[in-house]
Amino acid sequence: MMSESSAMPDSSLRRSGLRQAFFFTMVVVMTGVATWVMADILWRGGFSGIKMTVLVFFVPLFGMVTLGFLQAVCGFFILLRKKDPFSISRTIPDTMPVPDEMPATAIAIPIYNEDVSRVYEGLRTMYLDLVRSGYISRFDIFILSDSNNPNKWIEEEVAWIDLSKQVKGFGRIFYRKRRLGLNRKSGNISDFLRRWGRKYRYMVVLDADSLMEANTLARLVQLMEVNPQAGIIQTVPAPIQGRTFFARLMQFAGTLYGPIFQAGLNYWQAGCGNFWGHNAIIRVAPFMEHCALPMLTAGANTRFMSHDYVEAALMRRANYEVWMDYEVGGSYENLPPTPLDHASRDRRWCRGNLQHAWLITAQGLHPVNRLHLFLGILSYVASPLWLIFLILGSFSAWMFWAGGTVLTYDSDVGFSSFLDIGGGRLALMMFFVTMAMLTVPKILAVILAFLDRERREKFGGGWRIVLGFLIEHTLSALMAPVQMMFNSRFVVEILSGRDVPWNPQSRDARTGIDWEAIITAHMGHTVIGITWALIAFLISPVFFWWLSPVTFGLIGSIPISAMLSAPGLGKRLRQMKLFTIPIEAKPSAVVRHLDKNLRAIRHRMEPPDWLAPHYGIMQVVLDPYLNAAHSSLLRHKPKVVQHVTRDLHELQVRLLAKGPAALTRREQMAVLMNVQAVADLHDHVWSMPESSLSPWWRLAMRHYNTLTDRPQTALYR
Amino acid sequence: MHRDMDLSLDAITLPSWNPDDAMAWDEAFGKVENYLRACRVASRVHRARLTALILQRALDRRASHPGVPLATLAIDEARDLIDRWMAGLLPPRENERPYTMAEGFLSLYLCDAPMRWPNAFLNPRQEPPGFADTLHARLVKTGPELQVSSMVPRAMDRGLIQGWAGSAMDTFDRLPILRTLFLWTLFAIFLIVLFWYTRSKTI
Repeated sequence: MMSESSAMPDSSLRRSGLRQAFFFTMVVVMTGVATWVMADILWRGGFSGIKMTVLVFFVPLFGMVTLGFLQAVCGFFILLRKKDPFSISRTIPDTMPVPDEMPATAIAIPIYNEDVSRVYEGLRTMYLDLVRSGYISRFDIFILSDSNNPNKWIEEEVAWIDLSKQVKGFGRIFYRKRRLGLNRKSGNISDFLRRWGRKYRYMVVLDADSLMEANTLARLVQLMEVNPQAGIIQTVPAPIQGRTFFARLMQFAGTLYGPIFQAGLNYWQAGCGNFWGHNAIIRVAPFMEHCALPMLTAGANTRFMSHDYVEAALMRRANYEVWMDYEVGGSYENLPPTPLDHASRDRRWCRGNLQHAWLITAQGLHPVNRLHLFLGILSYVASPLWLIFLILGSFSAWMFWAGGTVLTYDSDVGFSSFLDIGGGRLALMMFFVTMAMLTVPKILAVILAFLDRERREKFGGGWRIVLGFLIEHTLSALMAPVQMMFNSRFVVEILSGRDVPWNPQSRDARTGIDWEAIITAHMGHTVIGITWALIAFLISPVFFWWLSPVTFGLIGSIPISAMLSAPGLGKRLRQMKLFTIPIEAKPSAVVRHLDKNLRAIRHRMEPPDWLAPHYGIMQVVLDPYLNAAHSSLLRHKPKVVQHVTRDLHELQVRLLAKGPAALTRREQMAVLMNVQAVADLHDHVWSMPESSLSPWWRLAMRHYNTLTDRPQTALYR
Repeated sequence: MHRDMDLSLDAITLPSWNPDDAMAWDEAFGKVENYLRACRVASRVHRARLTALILQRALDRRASHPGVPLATLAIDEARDLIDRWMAGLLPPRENERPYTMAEGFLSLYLCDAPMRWPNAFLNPRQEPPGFADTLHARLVKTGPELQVSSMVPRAMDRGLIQGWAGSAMDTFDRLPILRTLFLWTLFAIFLIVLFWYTRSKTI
């Protein structure tokens, strides 16, 4: 194998240090110059505490802008040259055949109250692709459930059995449900590894909405084989199946702009990359040995929420490399459908990233990993910094206005006197340079798309790319202040000790616009925006226009959010081929297959509203087949504690006499986890006189299997 | 329990209609029909035939169980029939432990019996070809053989942050009142700074 391919040469790794030195020197130089100019602008009229604070906040904010800009520029030139010696993908030729003997690899899919149809249809698509390609014998698939919603749990079990029956996947597709969801996703993966990790050399971790082609899976295994120093290879999942305007906008931006940022990121991180928690292959033995997550703080019983960055840092600490393969393709994921879902996900990520502050000074971590952790923190802390920066600026302007003082910024002294442009123009120049640094990366991405005719056509043609870019850029500018407000709130809430619940991520568009949620979430933004704009106008019409990019976004947050959340608008845009992405224009076989199946599912008959909230419990209790199947998957406990039996009996009586709504979710889970209780419930519900049963059960018995003789899972159509 | 398993309609002699028992009969009929539907007996004719048969058997037992509701007796009869039907279908075990009804249902479910042989349920005289063989070959594994190993976090020196911030946060966690006081102090400092700035001549 090694004769046909080559691992990453050592010289390349040495050169990665030079790259990092060059890249960050450029960041420091550009940020330094900008800070110097900013100081020159602020200095007019003398320095004060507020001005110093503004200047201090300016440094990390402009540093972030510079980092993104330089990353995109580097990425642009790499992609233009079509040659990246640091790409892990280049260590094996594209045409290299997959060897007959591949090491055993586990595909782990941790799930938590997810959309079962999406999980299993994705799994079915991948499984059939593996069968078609002939690689299936080397892959075992594990669905690792932490669901604490009884309906989801039962649906997952039923779907697993049905899928395994349909694709003949018993012995190849496995299902495990943890009784206690300790340490969330990372705990779920660790639990899997403790039980079966030794059987596998590699593990591919997928998210509930991940999709990966068989060829990609095989290639990742090959890459790991050829690069024994690689501990993790992270793919860049392409966004797919965006239905709302927002999701289509995000997937357009991700697909069009993403590659230059990814190539640029790979330019400076090289073998010190990050792990994003899914769509990545992991070398199991070192992961088990070195990447078990420690407690967040010594003595406290809390764990890292964003485990992936920490695991990447620990893997690197153990002298294994972590690579991002941005060229491999065939790796997909869904995006949050609405701005509110996006914000909800950000809230979890925010807490996870802030927790990384505990590791910044940890011994033994690679400097680049420390930088990753720091940038992760800064990506969220930048929002309150920006907010304070703007508030201080407004406050400063108000103080001048209230004191009747003439603004001194325009005096032609200092640096501007050499250019003979005046302080006002210098400030304007600074503003436009910043705007340009935010816009140029996107323009570079558009240029790259224009240079590749095939890619351009797949985006719907040149004018659609330009129009899409203009709309996306305008909307992202309007949404940026809203994001700033959300993130600022998250940071404050998290730092003040408020808990962040582990909610499942919404991955699909709802049927319509949730006006109540949108108004509740954005009402505060609107009020702040109007008030801020009024104050700015009172201070000076010029200041009002300076601040308008921020205030207009806040004032329009409700209609913008509603517009972006509308699935109907997303559909119309798709019909117009606006925000089309290559994978839509020419979908791969797996994406086509998944789309087809999911479309069919959307037209299935759903249980009536009164039944839906407890459909899973109803199935297990009423249906003799599912009762038997569920019981067979439970752990049989030889020892029965008397008071537990008594409590369970009380719960069973309540469940039958008053209906499932009379039990809390935890009580429902407790009943469904006990094999004897599950069997007893089935016996009792059928043999008890109807007068002893709650009306809910009487109705459920009459309706069960009347509309269909099969359970309502994704797999029955 | 030990009566023979005659499932033919010839064996049915329904009792003469007694309006006083109407509700009990209705409930029993409904319960058995619902149960058979839960067993995915999709054919209405087959379901009606089985329901009538089961009610007949419940009626036969009623005299010896006067206090038991007819619906309960009927469901008992239905389950008894199913139990014995399954016992005849499933392969004998080496340890001769009888199969439970749950195991029987699981086997039927795993070989998709209700869909593949919709009229085979409780129908020993018309056992479809391949039914028994398919039923015998069922096996469910939720996971491969365990290979238990450990995955223990390694000790980590967190450096400076763990030292001062860690102890501060631990203290705040233990004494939330301190955290509140700390936040109030920050707010007070902010007010003082604001007071000072708004009175300075140059901003």
